[in-house]
Amino acid sequence: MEKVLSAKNINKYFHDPQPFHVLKDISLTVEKAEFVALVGKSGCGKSSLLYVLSTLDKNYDGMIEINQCPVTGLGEQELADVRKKSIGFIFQFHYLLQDFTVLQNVMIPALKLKRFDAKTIEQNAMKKLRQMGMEGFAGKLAGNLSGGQQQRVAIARAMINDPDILMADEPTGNLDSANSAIIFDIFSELVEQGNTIIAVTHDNDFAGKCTRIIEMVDGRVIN
Amino acid sequence: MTTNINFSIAKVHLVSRKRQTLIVMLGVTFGIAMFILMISFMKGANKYLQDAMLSSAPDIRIYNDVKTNYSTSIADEYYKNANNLLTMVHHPKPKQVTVNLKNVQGIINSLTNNKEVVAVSPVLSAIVFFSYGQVQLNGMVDGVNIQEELKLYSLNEKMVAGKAEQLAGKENGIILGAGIAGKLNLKLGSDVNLLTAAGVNKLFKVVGIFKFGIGTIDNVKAYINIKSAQQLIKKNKDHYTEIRLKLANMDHAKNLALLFARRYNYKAEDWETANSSIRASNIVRNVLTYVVSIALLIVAGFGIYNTMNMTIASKMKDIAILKTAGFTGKDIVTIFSLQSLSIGIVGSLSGISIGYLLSYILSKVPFPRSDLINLNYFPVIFEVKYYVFGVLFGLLTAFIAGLMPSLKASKLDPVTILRGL
Repeated sequence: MEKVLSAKNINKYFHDPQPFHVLKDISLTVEKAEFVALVGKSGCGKSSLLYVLSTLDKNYDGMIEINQCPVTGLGEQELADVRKKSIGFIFQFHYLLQDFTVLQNVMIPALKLKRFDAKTIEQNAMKKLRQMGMEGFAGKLAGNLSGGQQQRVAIARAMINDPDILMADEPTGNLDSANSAIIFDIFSELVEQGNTIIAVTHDNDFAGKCTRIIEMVDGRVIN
Repeated sequence: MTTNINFSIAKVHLVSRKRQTLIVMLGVTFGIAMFILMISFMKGANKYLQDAMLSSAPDIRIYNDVKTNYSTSIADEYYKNANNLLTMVHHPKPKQVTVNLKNVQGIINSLTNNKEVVAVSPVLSAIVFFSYGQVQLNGMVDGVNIQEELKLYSLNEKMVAGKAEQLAGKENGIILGAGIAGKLNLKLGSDVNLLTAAGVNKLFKVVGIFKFGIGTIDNVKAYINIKSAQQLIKKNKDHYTEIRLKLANMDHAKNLALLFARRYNYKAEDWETANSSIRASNIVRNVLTYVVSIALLIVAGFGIYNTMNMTIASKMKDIAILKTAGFTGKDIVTIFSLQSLSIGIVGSLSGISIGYLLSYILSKVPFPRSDLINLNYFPVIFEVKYYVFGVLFGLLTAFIAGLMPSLKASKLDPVTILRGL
């Protein structure tokens, strides 16, 4: 199988308010088309691990490779390139740009990447929105949507550049069970299409349906 | 959305929060407008005061200073060789002194050849009594060649009746200060009698009345023709008491006065020395103007910085999202600099427009009428350099105010921002 992500000996410390060893010597690999659930109790470091794996946090020791390319120690510009080409993010609190329309929100990462012209990007964005069942809201301001709707738009945005890996931080943490089910179905479908997903979750039902569960206790991975 | 994504995002940010954008912009606008109004008014007031005080002072005056030498006496001379004799003269009096200049025509010829000198006016000043009916006032007349004298000051701007040039055509004409004219109830065409210490009594006809707005001039001074003045004090036609000069650059007055004093061996006094109190008050007023302007700009600058800072703080979440979507720190700085620059451009342009409007309105507000002050409206000057400075300052402050917080935000890891939310 093809290795999409590998992490070796990750250590991370918080210094404020008091020194705390949050990630303890974590090594793991994720392969293509895996649907990984990262579970554990609050404070065990699962969100911190996700941020480190997703290059949003540079402050760690160890070695991370995405698509066999090391990303540790890259500069601002290179990291931005990796983020826009290889990684899609989904957060617990949906994090859309509130002042922009749904369509603009989905298009922005692609416009930044400039792989296609604006017209193609718009078609792609509409295709992604249709996949999420959100094409009817394309012209609406993101701030006017409900939480579940915003989360689906956020997934469309994360997918717009066809990333190698999709990282989700509690994607259903803020949603009711009906919306959670919709999001999970979307994720499953994406995995079937060959996408790789790592999701931090509290939700045991959600985790139970994933292809692989990584459990963390006190900053360590246990199996 | 156009191809330049940073530009589009900046535009959406500005347009979607119209109220916030407007408030920040108004901060710039009012700061600049107040600066323009203040500096135009204060500089106008300074200019008015300086003009008023210097309006009757020539750049350089050359005159014969009364200096008497009391160190020797005829008694000293006479008993010089006598032994053991102490001569002592109590309270010596000066011998006859003359206050006129000699070889005036020669000096004038020499001065007109000097490139620094723009105009030369020889003058005969005399102390007189103005009498009209039973009233007598003491005063001072300047016997002048009015054509030359007009090259020195804009006397015509100060005329409240008649024209200064009319003096040339009328040998017994007189131009009076408004104060004298008022006290003696004189109008254009009235007759006034002048009496001098030489015992001459001569009738003059009023051809003009001036008002400088300075009591010590308006209440005592009058202009007559040089020939009449010479007749009044019974002197011949090359009798002059001073030569007044106008220079190409009045800042050179001090050095030139020294030069002329040495060359012609008369006292030469420059306007700064003659009006040292004016100079001091000028310096004080100028410093005051700058202090007020700088204070105003600092307050405006901080206002701009504050609102800009808050705007960017409220967009921290957007910055984190954009960064996770692959925007670099440079993109973030570009997006917010574009916003602060547009705010700076529109804000400072509307600032100078409002500043101009307010200054214009102030310049049309009538000044409370007064017999002594020759001022119809509030003094305001319009100088392009203040407007250029206003725009540059507004642009720069807004730009820096936007740049600093966005530079700070651009360096943060997205996760630092997300955790803080």
